[in-house]
Amino acid sequence: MARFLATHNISGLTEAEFRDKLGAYTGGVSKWRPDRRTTILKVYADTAGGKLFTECEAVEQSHFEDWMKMVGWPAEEVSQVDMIFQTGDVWRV
Amino acid sequence: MSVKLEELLQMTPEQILTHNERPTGEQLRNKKQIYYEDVEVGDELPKYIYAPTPTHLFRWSAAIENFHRIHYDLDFGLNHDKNPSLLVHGSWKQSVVPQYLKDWTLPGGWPWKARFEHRAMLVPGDVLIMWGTVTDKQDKGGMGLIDLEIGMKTQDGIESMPGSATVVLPLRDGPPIPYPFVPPQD
Repeated sequence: MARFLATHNISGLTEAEFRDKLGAYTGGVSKWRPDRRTTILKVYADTAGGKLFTECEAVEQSHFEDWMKMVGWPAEEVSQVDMIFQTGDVWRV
Repeated sequence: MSVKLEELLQMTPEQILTHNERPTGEQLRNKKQIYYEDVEVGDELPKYIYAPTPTHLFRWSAAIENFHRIHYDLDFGLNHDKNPSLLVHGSWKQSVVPQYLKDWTLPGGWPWKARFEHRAMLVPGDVLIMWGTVTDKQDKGGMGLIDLEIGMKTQDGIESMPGSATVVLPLRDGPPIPYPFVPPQD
C-alpha cells in the first residue's frame, strides 16, 4: 500500500456536501473506503479559498483517482508520501 | 414482524438501525420458548444490529485486557499497520455468536455448537447485521436439532463472518433439554 496527498480546486463547497460526499455518518464507510485497496484517511477543506487537501492510502495512485472520479473532486496535483511527522512521532509509510 | 435479511440490505444504514431486534434483559427474562415444531427450514432468526464506535472498541479492549493498539490508537493503526481505521475486535464478533444463539434458544434450549470465519475488517462507522437462517432440522432422541447458517454482514452486504451452528430446541411434548447439556448419540 502507498500513501498519497492530493490538492483539489473546489469552489462553493458547503459543509453538507462535504459530509455527504465523505459519508460522515454511521454506515457511510463505503464513501471513504470504497473498496479494500483504497482508504481516504483525512480531508482538509479551505472552503473560503476553494481548496481541498486529501490523504489516501491505496495500492496504486489509480485507485485514489477512481475515488476522485466517484466524488467528483479532480486533483490539481498528487504526491506520494513516504514519511509522516505527527505530534512527536515519525512514521515511515 | 422480522424483516428479511435481503430487505434490510436494500435499506439505508439509518433505516437498518431501526430494525434492531436485540431483546432487552427484561424481554429475555420473560421470553416464551420456541419449540422444535415452531421452526421451518428457511426461517430467519431475529436480526441484531450493531454500530460500533471507537468508545465501544476501547471498552472491549479494556474489558478483555487486549491492549493491541490497532483497536484504539488510530495513528498507529493507520501508519504502522496500514489499516483503514481502528479495527473492530474479532473477539467481540466472536462473543456475539453465543449470545445470539443463546437468546434465541432461551429459556429451555441450548446453543450446541458453532463455527465461523473472520473474513473482513470492520471499522467504526460500519452498521453490522448479525443474522441466522434455518437450514435443517432433525428430531434426535427427543431433542430438536436445528442447523443454522449464520453471519455478520455490513450495511454494504459484505459477509464478514460466514459460519454455521447447531442449536437444540425442546419438542413441544418432549422432555426438557438436559443441563448440563449432553449431545445426542449417533
